[in-house]
Amino acid sequence: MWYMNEDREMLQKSFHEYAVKRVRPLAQKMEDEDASSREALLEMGRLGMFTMPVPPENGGTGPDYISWSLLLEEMGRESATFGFLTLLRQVFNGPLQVSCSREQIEKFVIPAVNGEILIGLAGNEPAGGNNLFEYQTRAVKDGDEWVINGGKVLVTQADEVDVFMVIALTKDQIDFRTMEGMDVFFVPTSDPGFSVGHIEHKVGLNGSRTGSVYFDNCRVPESYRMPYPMALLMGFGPELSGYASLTLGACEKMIEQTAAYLKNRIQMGRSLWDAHQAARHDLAKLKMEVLNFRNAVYGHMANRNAGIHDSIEAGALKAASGPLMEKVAGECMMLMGGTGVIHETGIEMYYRDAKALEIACFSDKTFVDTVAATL
Amino acid sequence: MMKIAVCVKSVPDPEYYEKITLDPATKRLVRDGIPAVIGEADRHALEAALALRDENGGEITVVSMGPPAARRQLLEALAMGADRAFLISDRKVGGADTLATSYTLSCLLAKTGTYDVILAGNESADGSTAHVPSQLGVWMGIAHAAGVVSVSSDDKGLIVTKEAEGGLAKYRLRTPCVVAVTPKANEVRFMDVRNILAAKEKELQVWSAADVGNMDESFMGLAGSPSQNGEVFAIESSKNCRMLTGTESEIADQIVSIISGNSKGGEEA
Amino acid sequence: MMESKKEIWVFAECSRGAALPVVSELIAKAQEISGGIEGSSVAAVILGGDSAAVSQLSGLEIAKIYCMQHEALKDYRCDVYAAALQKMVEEYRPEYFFFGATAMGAELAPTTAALLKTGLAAHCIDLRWNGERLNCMVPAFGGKVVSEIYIPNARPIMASVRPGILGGTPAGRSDSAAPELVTADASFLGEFDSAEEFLEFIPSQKKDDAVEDAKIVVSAGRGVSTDKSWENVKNLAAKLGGSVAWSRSFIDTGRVDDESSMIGTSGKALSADLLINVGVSGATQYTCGTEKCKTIISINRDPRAKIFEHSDYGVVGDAEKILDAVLRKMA
Repeated sequence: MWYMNEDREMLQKSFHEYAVKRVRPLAQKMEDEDASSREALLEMGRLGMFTMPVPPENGGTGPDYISWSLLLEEMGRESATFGFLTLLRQVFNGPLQVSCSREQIEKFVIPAVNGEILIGLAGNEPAGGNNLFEYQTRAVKDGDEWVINGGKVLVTQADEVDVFMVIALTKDQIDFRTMEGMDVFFVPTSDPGFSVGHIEHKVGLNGSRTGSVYFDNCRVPESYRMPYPMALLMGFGPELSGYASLTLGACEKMIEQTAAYLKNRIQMGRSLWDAHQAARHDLAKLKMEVLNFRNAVYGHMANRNAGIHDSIEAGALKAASGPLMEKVAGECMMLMGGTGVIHETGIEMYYRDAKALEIACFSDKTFVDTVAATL
Repeated sequence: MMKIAVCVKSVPDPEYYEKITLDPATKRLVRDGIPAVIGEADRHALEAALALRDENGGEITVVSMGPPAARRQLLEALAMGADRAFLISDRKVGGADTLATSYTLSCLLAKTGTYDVILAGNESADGSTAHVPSQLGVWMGIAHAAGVVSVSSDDKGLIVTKEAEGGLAKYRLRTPCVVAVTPKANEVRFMDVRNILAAKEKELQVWSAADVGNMDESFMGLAGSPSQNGEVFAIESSKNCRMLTGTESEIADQIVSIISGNSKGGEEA
Repeated sequence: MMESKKEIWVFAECSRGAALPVVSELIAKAQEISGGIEGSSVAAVILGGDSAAVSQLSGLEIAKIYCMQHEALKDYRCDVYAAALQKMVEEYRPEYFFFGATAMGAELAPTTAALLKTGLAAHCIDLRWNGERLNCMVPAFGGKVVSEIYIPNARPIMASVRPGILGGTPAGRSDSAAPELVTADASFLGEFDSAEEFLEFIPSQKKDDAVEDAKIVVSAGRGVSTDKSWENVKNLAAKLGGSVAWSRSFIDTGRVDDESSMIGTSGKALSADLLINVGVSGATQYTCGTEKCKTIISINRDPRAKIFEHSDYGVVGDAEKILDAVLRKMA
């Protein structure tokens, strides 16, 4: 492909090896038993896989978004959930570069890049992700410390990160323009006031351990308050293109798996592949769609490498990802017939994961109006 | 501080051996489009080197003989964590058997420095002779061990455990020495992104025989190879397969009768 | 005075006082080759001078047994053994020198060849005298092809042969005379400065059901993808009193993790009377380990599977169901 070079070929090979050896055996356990991906994620960090695209002064290897996309693609091939959790490292580690103090970067961000700790986000409340003003979680100043009380829902990796970024109200009224009165704090999960509630059963993305968390008089120093919280919240946008990368991997895997099945499934002495032109063509059409999507994804990543960060473009890729994956999964299940709907075959898992991805981070439906506003 | 050298070979990817064909007219192997990789055993030799460096500190030098394109596999060895790499690529050293290959490698090693230990994959995936490490030891006049399943060091030398008839045998080798590592010796670590991206910054030289210098042409390449290649044959199976057909039950009957015929003293020829 | 006599030497590797089985195979092959070369004879070479091995080989139709005895030869050390063989070759000038490609042979043969600056054909599957030259048949690319290797000028012509592949039984003596016993001078070993120190031998826990010795083997490939079909494979092997083996790609399924019973280029070579392949695709790396089996039955879903080219009987179908039916019939 046009975007590959020697470095990226070696990177891709090493990502692929990791995905096959570590993620593949884990994928089914994450799906069936909600098994934790924590150890694998930390190992990836130690292997430098979260250094992209983090700047060198903060422990990174520089801003190559194409290599980062290759990483997500390889993880997405083996598990959409694992790809999603890999993506979150960048969603957090990336925007934190601009929203944190130097002390916070050294205490939390660089260790997270190096796989010493995992950072999570505890943002959402029952009031709704787009309705920050009605949040209940509050932080009150007590001397040099902040005392945090409240709870969050639908938190990814609720029981497996070391530090949460917690969105809390610090004033009675929030300024609608500057967001003054809303702050973000680093809260270590070792705090005696921190506890985990129920882990949810979701339609897909199982193994991401989505659940509720509670803060009961959690105390953190002033230095744990993020100086530029808006930079964090606004910074999530551009990283959305990573959803497209992991989707790409999942779609390619499903198409390969289906082609192999059709070629090996023998009926009356002929393979389904040889016997049915319609089946071959259905799969080839999916392949063309995925190929076009591939060029869109890597075109976007190349733009980022050139310094062009367009969050509408990124959101558009994210919004296209879930439906494409759902379509490929649905078609592949049809082509495989009875085998396709069996859990162990793995295709139906992608089908459900696609649905969950359409809602992860933001619901694709809410994004449409953001685009309308640009017209 | 340990000075470690690792010999690697760029080989056609074994995953693609099914695609290798024999041209019936020219009797040459057709291996177009088959990607090259670092041989599997060589990767384990590299891992053994990384482990020795982790424990003792030091520097890892990778050496190879091959076509100019083998530079790519040396770059990968650097990406795995080696410190510098040298490739000798020259028509004069081509067509070499294992004796000439090991001579060439011994010259390349002599040119690039002095080493405490030289590691190599026990055998290549393509030729699989497993000769080169031992013969390299002879050319260099130092101790060597083949079929090694574990390697460590103590203050008196290198401790190796190698395969032996009916078990394993443990030796202490005086250093410097050549150790031929089998895949059983270790599990190759995953590559580190930082090492991959740093590979290009490391020293990687591609040399001709003249660059290496001090080489005796009578020991190099085709001229220096006592063994020669004759014809190459594709292995054809002598079996003539009879397909068993029918319902599952009928097929099972036939299988049971073949099995019982066999257990009664073998098939009639 | 030795020039005219072409001797074919066989290195007689001994273990616990007896020559290894591969030595018999090599002597049988050497006898066959010697029959085609006028004025040639066969000799065995024993290092360490084990008297039991000497008497074992004395009953064979060979001209000589060369021995070297010395304290330094007690435990195998490659540099000492190779120096001993080099000395003997330089003194007695054999035309050919064959080794078993055992763990020791695979190290000692190339070392000796390098000391003598001669050619060595590795891991041969056959040695063929064509009336003019000896062609050593050497597999390459995981057994995909076989190359003829020959050594035109350097002497001795050396070859190592994979154990178990030649078969053959050496001819016993037709007369009552014993082979000439030649004891080579070992005095130089007193001065020899070995760079190797032998520390210990760790015997392997020899499994009773080692696949390479089994008469009946049931082998699983990637097509054995369900718990039930894997149970069926194990049950069938148990019922037949045979061993279970597998392909490399079966290891990737995660059902087994050791390579002790893996068949193929990097695994074991079988010599079973009956091999049943279940869900094995038949990559060359695998089938080069099954060529010696007498009867091979293969079950695979894919009628185009390569494994059928290496089978006497083939079944296209679902391995689990076929084995279900077979096990029912045998119950």
